[in-house]
Amino acid sequence: MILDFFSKENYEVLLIGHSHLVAYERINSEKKKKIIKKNFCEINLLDTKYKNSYLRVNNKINDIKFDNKVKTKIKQCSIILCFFGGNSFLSLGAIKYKKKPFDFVSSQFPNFPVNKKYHLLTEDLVEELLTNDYGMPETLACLKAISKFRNKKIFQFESPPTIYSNKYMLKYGRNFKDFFLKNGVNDPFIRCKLWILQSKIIKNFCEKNSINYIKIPDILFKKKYFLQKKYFSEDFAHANSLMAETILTKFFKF
Amino acid sequence: MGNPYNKLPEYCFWKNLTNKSLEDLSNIKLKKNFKIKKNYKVSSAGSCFAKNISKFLTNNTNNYYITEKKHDLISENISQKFNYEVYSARYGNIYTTKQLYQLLLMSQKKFSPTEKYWIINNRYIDPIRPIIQPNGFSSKQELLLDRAQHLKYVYEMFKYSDVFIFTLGLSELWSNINDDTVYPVCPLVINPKLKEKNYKFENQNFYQIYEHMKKFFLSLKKINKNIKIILTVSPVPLVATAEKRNVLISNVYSKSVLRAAAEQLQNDFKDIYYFPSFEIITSITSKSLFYENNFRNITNLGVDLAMNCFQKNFLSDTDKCFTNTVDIKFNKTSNSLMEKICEEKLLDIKI
Repeated sequence: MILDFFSKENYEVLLIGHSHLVAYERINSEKKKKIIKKNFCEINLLDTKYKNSYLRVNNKINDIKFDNKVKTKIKQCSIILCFFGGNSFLSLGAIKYKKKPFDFVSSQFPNFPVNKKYHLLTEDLVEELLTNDYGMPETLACLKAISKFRNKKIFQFESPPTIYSNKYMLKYGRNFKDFFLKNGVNDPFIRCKLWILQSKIIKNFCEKNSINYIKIPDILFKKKYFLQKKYFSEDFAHANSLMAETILTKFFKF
Repeated sequence: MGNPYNKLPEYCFWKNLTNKSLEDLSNIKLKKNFKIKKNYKVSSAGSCFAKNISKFLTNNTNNYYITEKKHDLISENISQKFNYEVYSARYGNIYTTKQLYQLLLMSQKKFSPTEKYWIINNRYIDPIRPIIQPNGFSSKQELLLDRAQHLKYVYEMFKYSDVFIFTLGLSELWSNINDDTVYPVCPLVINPKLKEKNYKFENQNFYQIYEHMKKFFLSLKKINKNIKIILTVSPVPLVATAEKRNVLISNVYSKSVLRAAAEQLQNDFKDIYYFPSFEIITSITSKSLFYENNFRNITNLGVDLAMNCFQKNFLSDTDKCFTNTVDIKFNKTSNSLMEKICEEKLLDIKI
């Protein structure tokens, strides 16, 4: 599959987001055959060319607006695929908080293991933590800003689930590696519960703002809850282009 | 022998009270007191007014002992919303001596309510502390694990406190007809769909209030032999009475019987003390200056005077002192902390 970025002036699909977009970008360099017959444009907000591409309104992180460069690109497309944020759950839950590790009960999966040696927080409280800190305000602000383009079909894609293996987390810890070594990698089920909660928060936010929320297809999961090994990339926080291809193929129903 | 009143100090005479300024109320000297040392761990519980005590101790001393602390990752805003650090543990208001004794038993695993939770709108409510978790718990598992964790902290508080301050709030209580579980508020106020026949109302008399406090004290001494208890009576009037009579009559009964029990307990036990916040704030000489316009909420002025009195009687001079000067001007600013969690106020909302 090749996403034909910028092949024509009048592209139909705009991909916009943060780091998880890289998996979709890589489809181009890693695959040779074009199977999606649509023209794509891509905006990675972490790319230096889009640095400062959104501005805080009244200096508030939860209220932003895109600059004209981004707005122009948005206006040209008819479909917007969003990959905003997605790693807030790892910001909160990848490294074990050694001083006072915490765990919580997932309301969706109340029978998931809970580490009784850890301090128990309630799910609502963890939801507040995620929503108000750990990168989530920026994700929600981007979604809010994009939802204002009401004449477009807008989709936010669920970020990939966490991987089960703490060994892999440590091996590909990248800039987290020293912290992992010092504090330990958090329990896989805590990461998983945080990912589930994050997805719930974003899904609810999307529904309130008329954005279609696209869940990760079941095929990507190992034992329902974790990412399958074949979709791992060489870092602990993102999936590879095979995942991106699988998702897009399913999305466009090829 | 002569007239025994001639030998009494000035403060024994009513005219002395009327001649003095209101600030002087904070100078009341207690016959029975002790000094809280710098290294003492002081915990507290009680009805709405008890929050003023925990707030005072937190802001003005290093003594306040909180076992169920907010997690380090939680900001102040979130912590307040989830009622952390309002008291030494996350139990909410404890209005009656029976409820206090029940808490101790639960923390020792000697009592467990048969009715574990109530379900309202798919959320799980802890009957023992119904408003501690905004909107209730998300699952039965969460509620039970949170309660178990909470009770561990409660036990730790009882075991390691040097001083425990309890504010007696109510004589009226609601309990479960089957296992006698005491609730902080009428269960039907929290959940009108509950079966009325499962709950009973009781207005406790002097002996019942005294006995529950005595049992609490003696049981507590078994796990913490050196602990001292300071009792006080909440000057906050009842929101409502379940007795079918004027709330004014119920309020006077309730406060009187609580005050009398506190006096008796102080007289009977070496390590029980009394602190007169009720007397200071309800003092007739203040002409209700210590109440806000609803004649229920206590003004900051009243709280400051009462806590000044506490400081003078129970804190040592070398302790970090309460340095705020008392502003005698009527202060209409309501104490938001007071409003923060008050199960009893729910009665007003539902009526």
